[in-house]
Amino acid sequence: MHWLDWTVMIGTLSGIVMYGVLKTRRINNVKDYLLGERDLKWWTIGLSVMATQASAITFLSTPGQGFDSGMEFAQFYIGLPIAMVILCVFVLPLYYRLNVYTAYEYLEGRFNRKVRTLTAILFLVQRGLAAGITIYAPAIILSTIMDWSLGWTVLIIGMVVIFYTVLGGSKAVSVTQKQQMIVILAGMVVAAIVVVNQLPGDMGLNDALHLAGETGKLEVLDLNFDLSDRYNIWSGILAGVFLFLSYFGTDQSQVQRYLSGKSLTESRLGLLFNGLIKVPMQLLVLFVGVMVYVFYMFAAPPIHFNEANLQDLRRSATYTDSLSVYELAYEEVMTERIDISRALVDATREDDELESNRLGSQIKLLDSTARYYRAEVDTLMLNQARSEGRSIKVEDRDYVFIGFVMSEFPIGWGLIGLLLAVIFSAAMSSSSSELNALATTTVIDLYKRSHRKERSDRHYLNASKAFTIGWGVLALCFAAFASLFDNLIQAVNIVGSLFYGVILGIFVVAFFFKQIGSRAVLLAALIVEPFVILIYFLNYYEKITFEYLWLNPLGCLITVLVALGINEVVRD
Amino acid sequence: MQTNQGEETTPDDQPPILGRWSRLYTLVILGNVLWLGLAYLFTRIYA
Repeated sequence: MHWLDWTVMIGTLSGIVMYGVLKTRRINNVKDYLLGERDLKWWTIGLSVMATQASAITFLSTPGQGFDSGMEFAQFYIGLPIAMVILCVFVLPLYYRLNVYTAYEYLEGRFNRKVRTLTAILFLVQRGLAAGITIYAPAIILSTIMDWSLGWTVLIIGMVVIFYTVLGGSKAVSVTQKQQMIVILAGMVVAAIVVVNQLPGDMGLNDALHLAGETGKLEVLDLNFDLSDRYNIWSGILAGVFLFLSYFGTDQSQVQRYLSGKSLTESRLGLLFNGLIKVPMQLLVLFVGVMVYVFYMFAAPPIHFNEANLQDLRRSATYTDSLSVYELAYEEVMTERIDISRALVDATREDDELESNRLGSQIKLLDSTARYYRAEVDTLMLNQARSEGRSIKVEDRDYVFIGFVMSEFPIGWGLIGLLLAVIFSAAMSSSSSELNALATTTVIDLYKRSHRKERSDRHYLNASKAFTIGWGVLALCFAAFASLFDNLIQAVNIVGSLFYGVILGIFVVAFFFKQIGSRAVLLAALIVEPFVILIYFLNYYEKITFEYLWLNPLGCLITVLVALGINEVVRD
Repeated sequence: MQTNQGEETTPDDQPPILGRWSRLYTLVILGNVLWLGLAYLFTRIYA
């Protein structure tokens, strides 16, 4: 990497960390440490909420989704603005009125301590697991692409995050997230411009859009209702609203962001800002991926984007011949696709709709042939790994964008450094709020509530810092096992979906079913959580077809129904 | 509607659920309809 890229990357990241540390050096009591002095304006809250959700996985995996499946992934976020409005109407005023540190505190007032503790533990388990993946995801990809040590990459990201989160608490998280989100948004705009600029000389944005359109990559909305289809408008609106209500309304890593607001008004504006900006931001990130696809219509993409996997295969005496056969066949398909793509550009320029459609269909056909060869190479890799007794991740979607950045971005302009800063910023921003929320929930809902009551403010401040370090170390340990998962962005969402439905169910009962008591809701949660996990595994082993996004409404609705049923039999 | 004291109240006495924020909520929802509408329009123009 060029020295200017190193300078931009290290300068940006260390500048943000120093800023966070300097802004929070006067914090010396537990309330300010956990609630960030409650002086944040709406734009800081909005950017902080966005940065918490947008992890490095978002910026590595999402362009890969755009490259592979086009813009349809944007439908996943359709439910988000609706969830933001519902939260602003019902949830925020309640949290502010009760003056809580965590979302789970409210549950003790409404039910009892057991329900609060159970919900807090459900949160700690799922967010603790996700925190490991949040650090591991960018580390594995960056270490492979940059030829860095995975262990050191995980350790450096983890240690930097622990450093400023422990020192400055919630406010350090929010103020650094504001800067990190500005770097991220600027970086993605720059990436979109550079990708379009890297297209062949005579090609403009208009041509690129025509090519993407003819090959179906611009399709955003799928109106078909299908439970087995992961992304369509119905899963986005129905399942998505449940997921986002649960995530933003009951996940402490988000609740803590907007509880740091100066007032209810600032917090509301922050969430609404997120509701307005999130969908276009995702469209932009997916668009970058689609433009990478268009770029590779004129330059054959590698048969597999994770170069390390390919090199392993080339070293093997058993598999290298089969790889060469597939590579040759793949190259022929790509050469034909380049010719057809050029013809398609001419056809669209001449407004020849019939010819454009015909050529577009031909490209789609060639893409499915190429996908077949890519899958065959994946099989070779799996067989090789099995024969050598090691595990391997053959899914290479997460490597598409960073691979493109490293091989095609202009060298010596600092742009590669900027994009790497984007990925590190995203990793650090989501990890820091996770650690902060995990520590807060542990201190407020478990430690202070059940174990060490009535201690000094200094004691709880030190305990909060100690738990932040503890969760950070635990996240680093989880990162060591994260290689068991196939697709990283989905792994985070799946872990969330397993628990969010039941947690949201508990909160829905608390908010809207005043007749249901604590015993009924506690039993319902204990019954439904294993049931949700069972449904996930039945789908995983292909016994039933039930996409994970639907686990959110399922868990929520069944928790409410079971609680209603139990309440008829068992009263408090 | 009856209150705890048994007094009659009109709907106007109830605290508004959306209140003065209703315009902003509508703006957020309509804004997103606009984003998706534009994306859909793009799809149709370039399909």
